[in-house]
Amino acid sequence: MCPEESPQVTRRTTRLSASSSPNLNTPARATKTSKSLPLTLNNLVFGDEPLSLDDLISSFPGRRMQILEFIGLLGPVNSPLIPLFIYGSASTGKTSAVLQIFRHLKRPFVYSSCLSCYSPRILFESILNQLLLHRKVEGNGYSSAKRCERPSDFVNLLRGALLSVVNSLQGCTGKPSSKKITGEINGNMVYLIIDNLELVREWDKSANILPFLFKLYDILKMPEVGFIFISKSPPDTYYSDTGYIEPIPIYFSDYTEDEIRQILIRNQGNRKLYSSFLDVVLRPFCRITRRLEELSVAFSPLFKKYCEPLSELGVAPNEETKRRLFSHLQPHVVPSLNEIYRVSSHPCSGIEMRKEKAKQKDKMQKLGGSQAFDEIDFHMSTSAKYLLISAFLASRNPATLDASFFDSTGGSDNRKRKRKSSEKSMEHKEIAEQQSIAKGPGTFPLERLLAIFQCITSVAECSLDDEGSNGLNMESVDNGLMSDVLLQLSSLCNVNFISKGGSCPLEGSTRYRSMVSEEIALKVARSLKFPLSKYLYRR
Amino acid sequence: MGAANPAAEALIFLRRRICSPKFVFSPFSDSPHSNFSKLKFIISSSVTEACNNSVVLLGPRGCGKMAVVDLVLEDLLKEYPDMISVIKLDGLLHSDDNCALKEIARQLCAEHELLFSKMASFDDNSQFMIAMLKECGLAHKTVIFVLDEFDLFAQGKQRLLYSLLDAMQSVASQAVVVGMSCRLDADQLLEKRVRSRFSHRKLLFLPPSKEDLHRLLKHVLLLPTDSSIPSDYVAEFNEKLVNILAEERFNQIIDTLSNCDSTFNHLLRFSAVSHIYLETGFLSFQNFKAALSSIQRQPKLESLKDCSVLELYILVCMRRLEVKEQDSYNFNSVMKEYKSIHDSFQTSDYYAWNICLRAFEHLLERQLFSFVDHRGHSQPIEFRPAKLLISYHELYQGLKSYRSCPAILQKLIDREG
Repeated sequence: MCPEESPQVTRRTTRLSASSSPNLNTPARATKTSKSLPLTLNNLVFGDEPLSLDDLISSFPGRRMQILEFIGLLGPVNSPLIPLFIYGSASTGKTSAVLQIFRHLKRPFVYSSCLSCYSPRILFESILNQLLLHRKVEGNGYSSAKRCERPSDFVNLLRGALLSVVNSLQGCTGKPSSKKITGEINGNMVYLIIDNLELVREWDKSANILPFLFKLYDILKMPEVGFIFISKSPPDTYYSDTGYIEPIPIYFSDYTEDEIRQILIRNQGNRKLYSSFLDVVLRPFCRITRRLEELSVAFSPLFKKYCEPLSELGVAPNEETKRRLFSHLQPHVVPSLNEIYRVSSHPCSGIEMRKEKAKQKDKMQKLGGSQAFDEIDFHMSTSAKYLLISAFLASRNPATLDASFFDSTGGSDNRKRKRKSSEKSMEHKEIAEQQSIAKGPGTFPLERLLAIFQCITSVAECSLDDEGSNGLNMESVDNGLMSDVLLQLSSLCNVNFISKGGSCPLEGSTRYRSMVSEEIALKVARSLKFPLSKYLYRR
Repeated sequence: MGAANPAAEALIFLRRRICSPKFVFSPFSDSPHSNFSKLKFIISSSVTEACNNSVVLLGPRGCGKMAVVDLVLEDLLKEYPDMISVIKLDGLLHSDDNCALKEIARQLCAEHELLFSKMASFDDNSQFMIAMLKECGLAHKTVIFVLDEFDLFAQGKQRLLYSLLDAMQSVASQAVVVGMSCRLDADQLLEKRVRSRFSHRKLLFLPPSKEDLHRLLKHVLLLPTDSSIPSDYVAEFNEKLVNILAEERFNQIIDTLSNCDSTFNHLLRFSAVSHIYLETGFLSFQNFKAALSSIQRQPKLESLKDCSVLELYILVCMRRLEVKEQDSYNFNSVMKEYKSIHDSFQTSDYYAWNICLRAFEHLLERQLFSFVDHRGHSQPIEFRPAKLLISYHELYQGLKSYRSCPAILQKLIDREG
């Protein structure tokens, strides 16, 4: 029909992009690019208002020693620096302290985190973009200034970029007239901060990249560059066989209980009230975790509960009020210890939800239901739920027992009668149980999964037909079986309920493994009213 | 003004000295039997006699191999200004042959002011290199190849080493290959055909003796009298420093430092750290003492001090499982042990399964234990076999120094003795 036109279209285009006319969009694009200003040297410095040393230290309670040590190691302006290594566990204020220190000192720096730069190429290009004052905009197609994949290219480009930045810094500080343009930049040195260094260990080429990063300072041989590494793991986890040039370590320890109290009180309206609240809860919660972010999330619903009996929240409590509030909160502390990591989806109505759950718990207990009521909090289609249960059974039960469990009637009615077990067989059972705990869920091929799935769904059909009404739902399962099931299987793999392993060398087909715990499988089975315990193999 | 300014100036001056390796290693190049003079003799003789040579410098990290090479090359460039061109390669960057040849071509072009094209292929680059070597040989110019991390070049097929050493075999070329490695058996890694073309000259760099360390400290820290810093400050500074260096307890500090790691780099980091708090404007003994404690750290004990009580429980359970000689245990077995401890001792710290799992993950982040199977993400986390990364003594010490450690934990650890 139109053979002359088709060779012109060399790239595949979607219908949408082919239909939208380019003329309408260009005026909008032109206005967008004119709004983004080009980057200057000022962008290398922290742009906010200046910060004095006292403000800096008071905004980081408990970090006074580390801040002073860090500033001392950085030294006066324009003094060369041996690489520094800051380490400490999560949420101890490493990144924020370093950035605020640079805001106080007003020295130019380049920050890149290995969390957002998840491969060497992105890390290199991000550093180079910042040094070359290049911004990824629509105009240049969101591309970096230079394409850089290998460490050798990176060293050459980095050297060039650093020289140009240092020269322009030196030029700017020399001329007094250009002070307007540069604002206030102290010194001619550029500091490279690399954050989240422990994630580099999980990259593919980590055996080369980590020694390279540590040695970068010696390779560059430029005294105008300073390197600062921030990591969650201590420096002894980075040792390699042939050694590396060790940076100077600075340790950010976890906050002590007093420091946690100081930090949590800072942002509260009524400090005395919160302080009496912390007297009650801080010690037991600190036995579980001392991480600030987890404690602050766990405390907020509890504090609301604590303040419930109070009519007005602005008053500082006296002894009698404190005792009243304490007795009100006391029964809730211990259960909430076991829910410390639960983040409720409705923060304001967390307490109402718990009241509702308590009511439903009472109802179930009256009906003689099972102990842990909780429903599964995600939605799954019925066939996906059956697939999940079949995967769980396939992982739990040994393959040789399938025939006895899943016969044509779909039941396990013909279980052997249990004989009295001797001591030796009890020992065997214990050892076998230990082994099963150690080994974990087994793998199964796709055919076995589908066989169990078909068996279970046919049982479900029969039972539902007996009950009456909803027989229509199950019919559709049987008809479009194969393609639906395979689609569901791949989505379950993506959600990591089922993991796909390598292929067995003898059979050549891929094997799967169920990753859900027994708790979730029981919940799913309960929502389908499926008798899971009858099919589980118990020794 | 006043005292602050000369102190700040002195600080910048000292830091600049510490961070330049050439300055640090220059006093060690005086003696006639030092590696500096041997290397200088080898290279200068091959320059003057127009012959090829290869040598390997071996020694642990931080012993000054690169600095000595830089000093030698600096001297030679002054003596024979137009007869030497230097090419520097690093094993971390250029162990791949393509990268290496591209870098050699780039450096050759930069030195001789030729245009370098990034699109040149591997064959083009290697032909260019061979042609340049021939030209330099005809012009009586020696090309010196400095290969850092020599052992990384010896991985794989060693094509670059072979082509370099092979090019040196021809009469027309004049080249010297200087390899540096921290593996003392780097020359054993060479293939047969590469080794036969390699002259087995080795220069060993040893970690310094105690007298050398003292000499180094004096050399680095004593301010010179002819700098821009006011001379009375310099005199006072130097006098105080000499007094400190002569003290016995200072010798003890240096002994402690060099007992664990006696390379120059370690000492330099130590002296860099000792400069932090120049409150009085002069170095005092307290500076050095504080520097020692901040350089010598025990990260595992620090991590243990930061653990919460539940995490300590899990560590103790894992230790008990190891004592029971279960060589592979996972989170489920740890939970069984935890439950049995709670049943027998009725502790107050009994928490739910998911709380303990989260504490388990925190311990993994602190690297106090690790999983035995790497990249084994096909199993759920509670079944992956784990092993402890701290020893019994570290755990015991950590529990002892822990603030408000529950007595039950110490009792459980004590039982195995």
